[in-house]
Amino acid sequence: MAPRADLLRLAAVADALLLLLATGLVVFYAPADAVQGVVQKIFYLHVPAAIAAYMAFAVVLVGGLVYLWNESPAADRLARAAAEVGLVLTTVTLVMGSIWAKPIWGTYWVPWDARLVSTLVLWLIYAGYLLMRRIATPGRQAARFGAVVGIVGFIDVPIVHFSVTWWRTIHPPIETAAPGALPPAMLLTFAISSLAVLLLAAVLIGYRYRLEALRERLAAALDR
Amino acid sequence: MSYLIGAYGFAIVLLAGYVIYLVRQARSVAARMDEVEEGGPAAG
Repeated sequence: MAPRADLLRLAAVADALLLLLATGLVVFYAPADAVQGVVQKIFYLHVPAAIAAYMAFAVVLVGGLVYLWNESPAADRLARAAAEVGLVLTTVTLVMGSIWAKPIWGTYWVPWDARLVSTLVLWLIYAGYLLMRRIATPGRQAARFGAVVGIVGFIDVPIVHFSVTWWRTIHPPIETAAPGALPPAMLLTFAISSLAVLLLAAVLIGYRYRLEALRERLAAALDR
Repeated sequence: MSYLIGAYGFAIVLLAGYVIYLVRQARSVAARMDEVEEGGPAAG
């Protein structure tokens, strides 16, 4: 059930090349923004990291649903792996966004801004999920409770995404998919960066899953 | 420019740190697994 080591290694190598290409595009190809200057290039990792975090939390949701349905240990393992990777990516999103905000908004953080606060809540939900999984005695009860937290916690993902349209917020809406929203050079750089970060998230989840499986095998061997 | 370097610097350090953590954990668990399977000192 664990992802094959050779396939994971291949994906990791492919992603390393893709990340190098994305870096080259961000540094040498994508033009500086006419209004914000070079600081706008934070966009090429800030937004893909947020999208990849959404995807990781969607995996936690699916893993939780599958676990509640058939109590598959693999589904629980996958959910735990994805929650950790999602948390790392949400940290990247929050900190990069905060650093970007300083020269543009004049402050690192806007208290009670809907997008910022809902993203911080998302971080706290999955940090709580991982803390609970670490503290709780491994077993059926912890896995079931974790699945419920992972499912309920996902409610915050659409809230984060649509917060910019549901409430008045200083954070700009994401309109990269709209025709003409970004010049072609920026759009290509964004597409390659997004692909690289999404593949990175998948590779990290794969390796984290294998680590969890190995830990469980070790615990079982020690119990014998 | 310093904000750009700061933002990417933080992201690179965090992601690279996480990758190193995963690799070290995997190596340590695999080494312990080998010890246990061989019935070495760690098994007891």
